[in-house]
Amino acid sequence: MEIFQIIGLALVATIIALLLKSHRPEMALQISLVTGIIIFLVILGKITAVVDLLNSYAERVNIDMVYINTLLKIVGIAYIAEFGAEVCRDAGEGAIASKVELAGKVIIVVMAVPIITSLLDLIISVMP
Amino acid sequence: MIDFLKNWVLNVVTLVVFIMLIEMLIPSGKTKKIVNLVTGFILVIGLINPLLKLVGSGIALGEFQMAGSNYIDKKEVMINSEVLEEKQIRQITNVYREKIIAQLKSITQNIEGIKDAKADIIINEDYTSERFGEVKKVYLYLSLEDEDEGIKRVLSVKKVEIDLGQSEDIEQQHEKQLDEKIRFELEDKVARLLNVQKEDIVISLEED
Repeated sequence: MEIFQIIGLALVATIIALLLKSHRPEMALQISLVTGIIIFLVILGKITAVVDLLNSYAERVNIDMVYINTLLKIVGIAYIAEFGAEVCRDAGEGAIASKVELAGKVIIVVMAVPIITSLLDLIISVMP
Repeated sequence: MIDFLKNWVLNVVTLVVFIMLIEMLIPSGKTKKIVNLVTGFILVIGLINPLLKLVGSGIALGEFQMAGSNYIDKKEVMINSEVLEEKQIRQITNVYREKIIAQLKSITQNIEGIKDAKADIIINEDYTSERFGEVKKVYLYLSLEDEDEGIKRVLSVKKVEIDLGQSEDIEQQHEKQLDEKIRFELEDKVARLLNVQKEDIVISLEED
């Protein structure tokens, strides 16, 4: 049961971070950052397996892979942007965190622009 | 017709399941709204496009997406190139300058009688001008070889001069130490290498 490992790691890291926060706040930040990365890496393997399975299903039912690929890219960007923003927010840098979120949003929208334009093209082609 | 319906339903169901899973997976932050918007668009396209393809006026989403993203990439590169150009030119100019300085040092040190040399140049850094990169001025600081290299030279105690009027004589004496032959040879070589006027080459001796 990997959830126990993750929870154990998270609890230990939280206690260490709490103890260190009063004396060495910069070390507490580093501990929380490293813990976040470790948890992310543990779940990454599982997510990859699930995504691979879904991809194989999508291929079997002959679905247009453009939708799936774009969706997955968007989810990845959202995850990374949120992770970065949370780390910045933990360090007390709310302004930088909101900029990271903004960058994530902009990149997602840039990726989605071709989808939106193709939808517009679709609507135009429907019109007589 | 049945085949088409089967494919269409399968497509829509798979897409919906996929979107549902993704909505569960995405972090509950500020990006969630945008992800929902995009997934909604994709679902609409997935619903309508097969029907339109049946009628004969559907679009190839892959091609459209590629064309759209290429256009965005092209614009991005064009906008970046305006910023990058200046940076790159500055970097190129620095590399060019360092290369010339190294060349100057090596040709100066090859001349007999010169122990060590330092060089500096002024180049035209205005990239809008036609003469961009042209060497404007060359400065060479030379230290001459001692005539009796093998014997350790005893440092002489310098005479303290108080009178300002005599300092010019001392400078002139230093100037005279550089052999005219060496100066001429050096000027000639540098002028040929960099295509500069001899008046723009400033050679001075380095103090020990």
